[in-house]
Amino acid sequence: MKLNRQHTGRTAVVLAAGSGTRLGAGANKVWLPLAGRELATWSFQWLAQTELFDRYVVAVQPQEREIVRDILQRHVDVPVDIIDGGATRHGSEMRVLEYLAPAIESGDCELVLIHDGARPLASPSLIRDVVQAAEDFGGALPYLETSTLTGQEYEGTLIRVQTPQVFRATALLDAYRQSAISGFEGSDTAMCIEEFRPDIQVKCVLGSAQNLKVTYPQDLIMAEHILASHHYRLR
Amino acid sequence: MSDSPKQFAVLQCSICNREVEHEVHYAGRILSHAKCSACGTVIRQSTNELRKSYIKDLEHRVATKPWRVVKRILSDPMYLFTGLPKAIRQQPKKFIEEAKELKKPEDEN
Repeated sequence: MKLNRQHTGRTAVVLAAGSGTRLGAGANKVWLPLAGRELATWSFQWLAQTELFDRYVVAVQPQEREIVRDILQRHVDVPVDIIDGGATRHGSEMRVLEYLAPAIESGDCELVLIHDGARPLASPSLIRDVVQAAEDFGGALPYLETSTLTGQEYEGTLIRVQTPQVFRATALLDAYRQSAISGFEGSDTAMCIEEFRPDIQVKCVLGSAQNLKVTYPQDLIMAEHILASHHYRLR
Repeated sequence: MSDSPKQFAVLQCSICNREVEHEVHYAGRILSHAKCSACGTVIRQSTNELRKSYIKDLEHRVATKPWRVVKRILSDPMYLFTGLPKAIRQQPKKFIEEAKELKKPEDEN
């Protein structure tokens, strides 16, 4: 049963087009089984649990549209708009924002959350924290301190950013339209905002080690254990 | 989601570091092992750990099955006449496949 939520002015976007499949290398990991359902559907579970959003969008590969429709029908309790992703992550974000443009320009969509479909364990509490920070500051993203040699610097500390990342919708659309004109491609959403809308303050919110990105096979095992240890309910 | 105990997906291999297709095997809902198509590296849970996880998960599956079936029928009433009878017929084969996955010795693959 698909429940329509009341108007909140917030849209949640899950990017599930997958880089590997774009290169023609094989099947998309975000649709692999994880604890009995497809990996990316867990994100919708936690997003819906917050009751913060009135619209949900997923960006997929065009050839995956039908199978994704079936998956969402079975495992996701909220209506989700399925749109074709682009050739890159940035391209998928651009397509999503152009799809949302009428709602953004009319003021119907005020805040956009962008989440990586390969991160199935972003908990409702983390989502709430990031959304609250974005409402207070204009933009927000979760981070973790890192001890490796690579990372972005934030207040003198090396950090690794995670998703979900949340921004004011008008600024986000404006930044991506400017990036399209200049040919800029950022590796994550915040990078594009920093480049074209430096007036938007992006607040870094402490993320969670549990919010892992499934990259290696062992990440799937880890994610299974985390879900089982929480009795398949994150809070 | 396919009920097949074997799936394919692009993952990064921690040994050869290449982002290539992996053959991912499941025992029920639990990942048993994954094999890199480029270098052949197999990442697996220990058999003991896998069995413990499987039994715990099986308890959860059995406990939540009635609600999951009801939910499925509510979202797609035709499932009661089309999908459900087929799913029931496939249960014995499914459990045999899962048991085989649990019996695999550590050094196989």
